[in-house]
Amino acid sequence: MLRAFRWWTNPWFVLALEAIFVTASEVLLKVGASETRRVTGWEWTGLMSLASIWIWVAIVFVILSFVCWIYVLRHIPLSIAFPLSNVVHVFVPLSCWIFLGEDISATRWLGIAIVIFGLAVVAKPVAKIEEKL
Amino acid sequence: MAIFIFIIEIASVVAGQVWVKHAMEESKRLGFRDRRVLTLFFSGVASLTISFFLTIALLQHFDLSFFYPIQGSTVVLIVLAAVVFLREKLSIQLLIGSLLISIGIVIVSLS
Repeated sequence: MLRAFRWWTNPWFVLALEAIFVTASEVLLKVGASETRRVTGWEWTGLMSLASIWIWVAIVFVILSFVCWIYVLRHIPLSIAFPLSNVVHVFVPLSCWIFLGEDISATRWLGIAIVIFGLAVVAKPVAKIEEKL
Repeated sequence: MAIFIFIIEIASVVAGQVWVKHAMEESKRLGFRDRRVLTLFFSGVASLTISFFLTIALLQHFDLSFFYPIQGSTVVLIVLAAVVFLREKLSIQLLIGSLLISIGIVIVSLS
């Protein structure tokens, strides 16, 4: 069934795109939140962060990721798609390391490795089904 | 009280995902304008919205490092909910893979 899709409408590609959008939104929310931290008085609502352009870009990414997720759910079982969407737990720490210069401890690298291993275990039977089609 | 909010938060994530997925399945047969499809879809979106605000409320009271590992458990719960409520197939690989992802998330957030 999935063979009929062009590459940009392939649900697996859209699932990867969803994870990238979530990652982008998380990183940009962090940038925007740090930028507007000095504003006082209403900071507990988080609403002051709207003064940062990055927060708005992040909101756009959140919406895009939700649209992608809806599309993915139309084609892939939830029990496969949801575990695979957790690839963000690999992407986010890596992005923070690369783009924000945050440190990753040895234990955290171990956690990332276990998540990747889990993703591979979930994805392997799926890859076999795809090959047969 | 806090444990109660945790349970509602996790339950609304699981219910939200199951409802949205169910809506998408039904939409293949009934189309998007069908009342049943729309009800399922907006119930799902409402449920996910509730969980979003409960998450923020919980974050105001607990450290992320305490809260996040509990979020990791939603992976296994959603897989099981999809199997029970949506009759999706459960394989041993899927269960082991989901457990590994959950454990990995816990370790990432504890460190």
